[in-house]
Amino acid sequence: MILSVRDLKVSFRTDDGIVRAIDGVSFDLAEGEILGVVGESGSGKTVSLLAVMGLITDPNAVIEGSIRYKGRELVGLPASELRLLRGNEIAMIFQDPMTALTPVYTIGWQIAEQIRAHQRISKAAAMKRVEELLAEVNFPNPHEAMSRYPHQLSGGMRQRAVIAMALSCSPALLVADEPTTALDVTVQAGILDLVRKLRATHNSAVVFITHDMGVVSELADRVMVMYAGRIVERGSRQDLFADSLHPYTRALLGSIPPLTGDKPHRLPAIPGSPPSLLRLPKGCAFAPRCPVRYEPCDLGKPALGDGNHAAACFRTAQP
Amino acid sequence: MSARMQGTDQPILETRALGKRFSIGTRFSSEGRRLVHAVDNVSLTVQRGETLGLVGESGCGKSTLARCLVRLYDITEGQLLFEGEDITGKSLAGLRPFRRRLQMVFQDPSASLNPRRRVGDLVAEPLRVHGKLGAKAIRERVVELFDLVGLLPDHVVRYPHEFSGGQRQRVGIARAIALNPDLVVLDEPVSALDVSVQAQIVNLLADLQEKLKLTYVFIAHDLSVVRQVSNRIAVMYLGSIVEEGPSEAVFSAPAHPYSQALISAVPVVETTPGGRRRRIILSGDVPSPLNPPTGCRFHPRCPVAQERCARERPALVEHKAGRKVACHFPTI
Amino acid sequence: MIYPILRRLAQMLFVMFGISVIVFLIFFATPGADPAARIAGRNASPEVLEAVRHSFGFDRPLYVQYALMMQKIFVTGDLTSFVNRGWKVVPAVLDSIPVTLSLVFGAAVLWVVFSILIGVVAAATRDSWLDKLLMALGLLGISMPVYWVGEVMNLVSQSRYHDTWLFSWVPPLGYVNFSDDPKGWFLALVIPWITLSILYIGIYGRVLRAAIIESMQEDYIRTARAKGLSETRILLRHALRTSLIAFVTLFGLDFGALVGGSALLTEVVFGLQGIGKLTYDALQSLDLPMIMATVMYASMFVVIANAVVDFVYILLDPRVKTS
Repeated sequence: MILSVRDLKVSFRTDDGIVRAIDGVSFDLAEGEILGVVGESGSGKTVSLLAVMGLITDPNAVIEGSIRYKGRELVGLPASELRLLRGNEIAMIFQDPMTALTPVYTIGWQIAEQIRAHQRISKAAAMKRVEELLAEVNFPNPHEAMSRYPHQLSGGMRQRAVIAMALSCSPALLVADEPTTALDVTVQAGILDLVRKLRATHNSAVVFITHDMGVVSELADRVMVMYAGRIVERGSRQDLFADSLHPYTRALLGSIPPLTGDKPHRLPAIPGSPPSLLRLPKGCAFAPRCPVRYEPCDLGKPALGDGNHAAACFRTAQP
Repeated sequence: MSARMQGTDQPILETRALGKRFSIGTRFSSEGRRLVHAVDNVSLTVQRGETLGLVGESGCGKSTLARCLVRLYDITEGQLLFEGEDITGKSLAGLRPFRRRLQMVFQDPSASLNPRRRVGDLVAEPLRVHGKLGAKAIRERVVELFDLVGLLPDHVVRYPHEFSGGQRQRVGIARAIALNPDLVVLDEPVSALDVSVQAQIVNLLADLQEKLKLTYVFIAHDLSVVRQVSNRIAVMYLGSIVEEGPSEAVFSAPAHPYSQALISAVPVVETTPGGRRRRIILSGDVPSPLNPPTGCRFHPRCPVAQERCARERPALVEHKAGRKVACHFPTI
Repeated sequence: MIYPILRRLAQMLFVMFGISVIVFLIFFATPGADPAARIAGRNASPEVLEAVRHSFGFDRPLYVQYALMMQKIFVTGDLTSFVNRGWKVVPAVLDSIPVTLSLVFGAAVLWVVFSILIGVVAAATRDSWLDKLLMALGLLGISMPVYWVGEVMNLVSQSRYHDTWLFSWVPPLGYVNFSDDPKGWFLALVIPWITLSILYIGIYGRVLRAAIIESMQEDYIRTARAKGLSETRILLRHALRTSLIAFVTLFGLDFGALVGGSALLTEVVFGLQGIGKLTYDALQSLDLPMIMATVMYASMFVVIANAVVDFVYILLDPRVKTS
């Protein structure tokens, strides 16, 4: 296992009380695997991965549990040691390529900066490497692109530059936080294609966060669905989409309008909206919106079963 | 009024070669003043009671067109007709009677609602400005509207930030329908919402359309949502319409190479292994509207472009009943 | 690159032309007052009055008067003060320029260096006691009036403790030409520099701290962290670098205004015959030719400073170049 997270809890102290952003998340990631993490805003999908990256800088955050990268515990690791891993072995791609790059430096400079932060090589050698990387992410004219500033590139090209930067030190683990959400579908298609290709050439493990079920089903080997800070279902892509167990997963899949075939007169919508993390129900967080809820759901939180395909639901028979 | 009584095939809204240019920069800037053709030569009809879906990617001009349709922008070329009457150049005062019947819902519900005012006031505002209702009648109407969009009567005293995104969009919708409009232009009304909430709003819009006999122009980049709500769709690329037709037909067999690429690019949940659709990946970026390509504007990225496409700009022509394509080599 | 510079120069000339016209109109075309009488000063004899009227063309149309005035300032340079009879205005202004430039330039060096230091340290140690102390000191610097600080400085260094080892090096008030005695120039200006810069160190330190903290919230800082850069590098190369854009704007405006005469209080307190002092005296005696000349000079500096800011902007923020 390249990454192994056990009972991760992240909470934030706020004026209104404690916000439990992540409440007991456990998962494993094998080498070269793509794990899709699906959830809506507030589901904790981004926070859990920021915790893995050690990028939660809020002094009011409390992180508990265990995050092991190649067997090494990251929770509690001194910042200086964590920094040596970040960008070098664990890299991240962010959601909005428009704001993810520093506006006053060329993209060549910014990528070279990362390389030189981790490797002792000359400026010229770093620049040569940058050019190779930009070519690898399909920049039509890599040499010229190096001297471009972020604002001179389109959103899709900027995201390619960010990806090139993430790959610059050949990371073993790549965390992608909604990398295509801000992009148009035709551009997204190109980026997804690229991620697939890069996984094959670099054999990096990828955690891909998204709210788009379609994107996950195109890319992921395994999928994890999150709701209100907990994992509600986990399984292989095949299991999860063809044979979903959790009512939330089912409802979410059902509420997406189909692109082919008959269209329903009304969409099977999920009533209500995701709960506030400040006032989570005592029982299952999805219970207030759940179509199959019964008494036990309000009493305690259902645990996520073991096994490859599991759901955290009292109703669902654990396979 | 006369058009209404005729009850014929007269479209409720029609554009004839409508265009919108923006000028960028000043005479003193290094490139001088330049004109951007954000919307170029768009001819569309919207029939009473239907939903016309407008799709395209960022920068294709769909939001500019939407704002032209409700005359939030001044139209620089062509004509805009509402029930047969030309409202292209009408003054603000001349537009007043049309404003009531022509409303718009915006993408970001939190940005379009004044955060310092109670939502009840926000919904009552158009009633005060346009209507001749008394204070009591306005209050009753607001409660009625809240009921229509699925909000509770005691929500009227709340402020926008006390609502979730979905509820705020309901407020935005209540405001748009307050004056009993005939046509509502919806600009990305569900894009900012969580997936689990999108379906509620899509259903609400469908219910309101049925109840209030509304006509919609629905703009979105999410193709599956557009397919769900629209009877007809128009696909835009770089300011112009490249394909138009019944939504079912266009989605199942797009005729323009751009529509084909666009529809094939939508990631869908596949449960059958190996059932993946063929994907067309476009090369390059959308060209700058400041400097559009010659001939067909799509030709530099088009997988089937030929020499003629670079020279000659194809017109939007009807190939089959109701199906228009602007392409020299449509697959239809 | 040449064309934008030329265009910018043309704009500067145009702005200065506009300012000169407005100032001219305010002082020379205000109805109800005879400019000749004002230029000639109180108790002038009818002959002098007539000479003034003729020499400034007050018996001719307004545009001729304006042209004559500009000619006197820029071409012949023989505009004379009528309050201090026979005093040539243009050389007086030219003489006071090095004084003001020396004062403001030195103070600017001090305030840039120290405000960056304070801003960066405060932002880096955000919410710590050091941050709070620095910000309190900054606020103190802002709230102390410059003439008061100057007088206290004089009191301490010129009289009370002048004979102690600490301040015995302080020369008497006044300006020393750099070309005559570089060391004397430096010593004479050290205390004025410190006095003038205190206010700006306070303002700029606080502004910079806020700008850095704001840019530390940006997405690209998160990217920089994800790249594995050190906190120091993130602070200096990414956060500070992008914050300097606001800093430079402010600096250009303040520097221009100070060189243009706003350092007046400091100049008066330390007995420096700078441009501010000159303007101040001219206003007191309603010396119109002198006012006209100093205002033209001041506007020139403000406009030039603005143009320099625009160019520095292009260097600092590549986004400006293309848009």
